[in-house]
Parts: sequence; C-alpha cells; structure tokens
Amino acid sequence: MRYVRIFLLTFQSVFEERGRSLVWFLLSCINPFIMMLFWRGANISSTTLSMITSYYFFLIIGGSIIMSHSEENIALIDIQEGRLANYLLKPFPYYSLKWLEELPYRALQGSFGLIVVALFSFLFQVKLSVGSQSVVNFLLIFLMLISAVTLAQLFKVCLGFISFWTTDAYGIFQLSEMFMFILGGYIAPLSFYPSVVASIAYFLPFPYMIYFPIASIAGFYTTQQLVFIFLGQLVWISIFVFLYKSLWKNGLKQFTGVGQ
Amino acid sequence: MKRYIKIYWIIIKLNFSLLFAYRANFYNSFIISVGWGIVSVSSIFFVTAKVSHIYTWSRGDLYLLAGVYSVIVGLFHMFFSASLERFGRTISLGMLDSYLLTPIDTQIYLSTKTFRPISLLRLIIGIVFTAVVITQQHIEIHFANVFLSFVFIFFGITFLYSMWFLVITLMIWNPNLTNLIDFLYISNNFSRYPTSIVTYTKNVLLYLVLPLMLVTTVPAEFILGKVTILQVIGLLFFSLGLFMASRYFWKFALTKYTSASS
Repeated sequence: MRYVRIFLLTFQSVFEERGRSLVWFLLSCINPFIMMLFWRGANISSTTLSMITSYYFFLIIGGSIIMSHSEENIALIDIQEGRLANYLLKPFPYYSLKWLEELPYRALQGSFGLIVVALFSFLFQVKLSVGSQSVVNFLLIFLMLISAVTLAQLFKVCLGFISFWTTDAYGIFQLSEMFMFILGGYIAPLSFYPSVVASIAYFLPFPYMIYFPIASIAGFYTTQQLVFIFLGQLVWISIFVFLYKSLWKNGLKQFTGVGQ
Repeated sequence: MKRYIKIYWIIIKLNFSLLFAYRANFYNSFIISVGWGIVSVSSIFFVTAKVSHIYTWSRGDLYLLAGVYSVIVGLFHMFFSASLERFGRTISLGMLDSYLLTPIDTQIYLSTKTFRPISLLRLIIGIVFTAVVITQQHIEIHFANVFLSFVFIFFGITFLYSMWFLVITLMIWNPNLTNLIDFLYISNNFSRYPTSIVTYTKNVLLYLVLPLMLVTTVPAEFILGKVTILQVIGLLFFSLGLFMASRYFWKFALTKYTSASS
C-alpha cells in the first residue's frame, strides 16, 4: 500500500508537467515516422512492408512504455547534487524508489503512444499486423515486455551509477544512446541489417530491451524463438542485477553527502 | 561588418581555448562528436543492406546524401546550435537584458556567441565520406560544381538556422519549453532523407516537412546531376523567406519581452 501511495504521489507530479511529457513523446515518434515513409519506397513485398509498418507503430508505443530515462537524474541530481543522502535515509530500497519514480512517466507516455498510433492508423487506414500468434505466444510476449521494462530500468540505473566515479558521464550516456539507436532496432528491424552487425547485436543487451519485444509483437518469431529470446532476457537481467549490486556497494563508498 | 568579423574571431579563439582547458570535457565532446558522425553515416549502410533502391535513389546516391547531411549538420552545429540551445536559459535567468544593451545586433550576438570547435570532427567525417562516395561512384566533379554545392549548402544552413531561431523565439513567451531544443535537434533528421519519401505519398500534411528535406537533397542531387530548377528555387525561396520571417518574428517577440532581472 505504501508503494502504491508513492506511485500515486509521483504520478501527480508527472501529470503536472504533462505538456513537457507530450513533447518528449512526440520527439520519440519522429524517427519511426520518417523510417516508415522511407521503407514505403523500398523494393520489398507488400507483406514485408506491412510487417515493417506495424513494427514502427509498435515501436512508438513500446519505446515509450519500455525505455527508461532515469540515468541523467541519478547522475546529476542524486549523485552530483547529493540527493542520494535523502534516499539512503528512507526505509525503502533505492532501486524500488527509482522504479516507482519512472513508472508514471512510462504510463503517461505509453498512453500518449496508444492514442497517437490509434489516430494514425485510423487517419491513414493502416492495418496493424501481429502475424499469426497463438495464446502461448501472447503470454510469452507479455512476459517479455515485463522483462524488457525491468532490463531497461536496470541498465539505465547501472549507467547512472557510473557517476560515482566520474565528474561528467554525459559522453558515456551519449555513447549508450548511439548503441541503443543502432543496435536496439530504432533505425530498422535487425533482420534488415547486414548479418554480421545483426549477429553482434544479438549478443548484446540492447536488442533485448526494445527490438525483440517489439518484433515479437509484430509477429516476426515462432513460439520456440520467443522462448529463447525470453531466456536471453533473463540472462541479461541476472547479469545486470549482479552489476547493480556491485556498483551500488562500491559506489556508495565513493559517495559523500554534504548538508544538514 | 569589420567589427563583427573581429568579434567573431575573438569568440572562435576563446572557444578553442575553452575546449582544451578541461581535458575530461574535451574527451567527452570528442566521443560524442565522432560517435554521432559515425552513427549518421553508418545508419544508412544498415538500412540499405538488403534493399538496392529507395524510390529513385540507389544505394550509392543515399550514401552521398548521408555524407552531405554530415557536412551540413557539422557546419550548423559548429556555428549555431551551441549558441541557440542556451537561449531558454538566457531568458529564464534574465540575461537577455545584458545582450540587448550591447552595441551589436542582438540576434547576431545570440546566434553566434558560442562556437563549437569539436564539430569540426563531424564535418571532416562528412567531407571524407562524401569524397569517398564521389570517387567510388565515378562522379565527375569540377571546381564550379564544388563551388555551387557549397552555395546550396550555405542556403541549407540558412534554412536550418532560421527554422531554429523562429522556434526558439517562442521561449520569450515560455522559457520553460526547453525541450523545444531537443525537438529541433531531432527534426534535423528529416533532412537526412530524400524528398521522394514525402512527394511519393501525395499527402498534403507531409509536404510541411518537404523544405527541411530540400536542405540536403538539393546539394546531393546537384552533385549527382539530377537536381531540378524547381527544387533549387524551392530551397532559395524557403531559406530566404524563413530567414526574413525569423528576423521579423524576433523583433516582434522583443516588443513582448519583459525583463526578469531589473
């Protein structure tokens, strides 16, 4: 109940600045939108085109629900400005509080995503394709979405923790954005990439946050492949949980909170 | 004019000193600039890996477009974006008063007060990449072609500058809209792709982003020898028109500005 209360309080402050949230959301729509137009001119079959269009529409919704942006707040406000001292005194784990702070943003931006996609598919008569999915597939996709949100949040929190050791981690954040942009499937489905690049990407955590869940909804994979992807997500979650604990333990030793 | 050039030269020298004054900041900026330069060029490799044509544009043409885009964006970020992105902060902290009191044109001062030398790297990546594509495509290039391409690039940058300035002027009314800057950064992506992706849809609403696409398409198509006179006129018309609009809008906005500091 206490967690629900914290969530509702955070939601209130997020909703207060819904205009800014809307602009952030619109920003995330621009790239998928351009790419949708781009692929219409490619010499590919109508079935593939329909799958790609659906992929970008799902990317708009999925990207806003899954992708956390908490690393800058952790680095700048919590670690550099020292607000972490405040969190340390609270009877809640830091990670849970960070997640509760991020969830309202994801909920609000996800709802913007649903509205925009519904509006666009109605205006431009786009039929969203999910392929031929069984009930088991839908269940697996649901689990994959939850894992993707967890993985993205863990990844961003670990990224923010780098600030325990650096005075300015902006370059590292930008580097991670670049990798995410290319290897996370924001430009195009990885199956359209050169096979070498796609193979490298499959061994990294980036596609497990965005590309695989979105491509699964768009019906790119069979049940067996979905199981493997889900297992891959679990492996990455385990790695990042371990990394989180290690960074937190050692990072706190670097942290100095000054104030009254 | 001579005075402006002298001041701008001082600004350039100061920004170079600032870049090397903080080593960590330099490495940070280096990673970001080179990284995004590589991303903007490599992303076109990835999307065209399994398709040979996008509308009338071959894979090679699209590589050239990506190279020209890097040159334009490199130049734009070097000369303008760093100054313009601080505009919201300038207004909300009441610092605009001090700019208004200086004996030089406020718009010029606000738009050029910060020079970003690190974007030279992105510019170099763009120029080298464009040169490689031109050589591989066996495109004949003369001095006149190079000169005219740079004229079109100049008008393209004028368009981008005017669009940015027009939008950020809105912050005079609402300085909190700082994410408009991010919106502008991402909107630049439209100029990464050819105009065909909009013209083929025949959708009136999408034609709104067409001028932004002309920024890169015109110089690239000129190098390829495919540019039409209508496209050239379009680029000149939108660049000059938007530049004048941004100038008038800025003067109008200043009449609505209320000082925050005094």
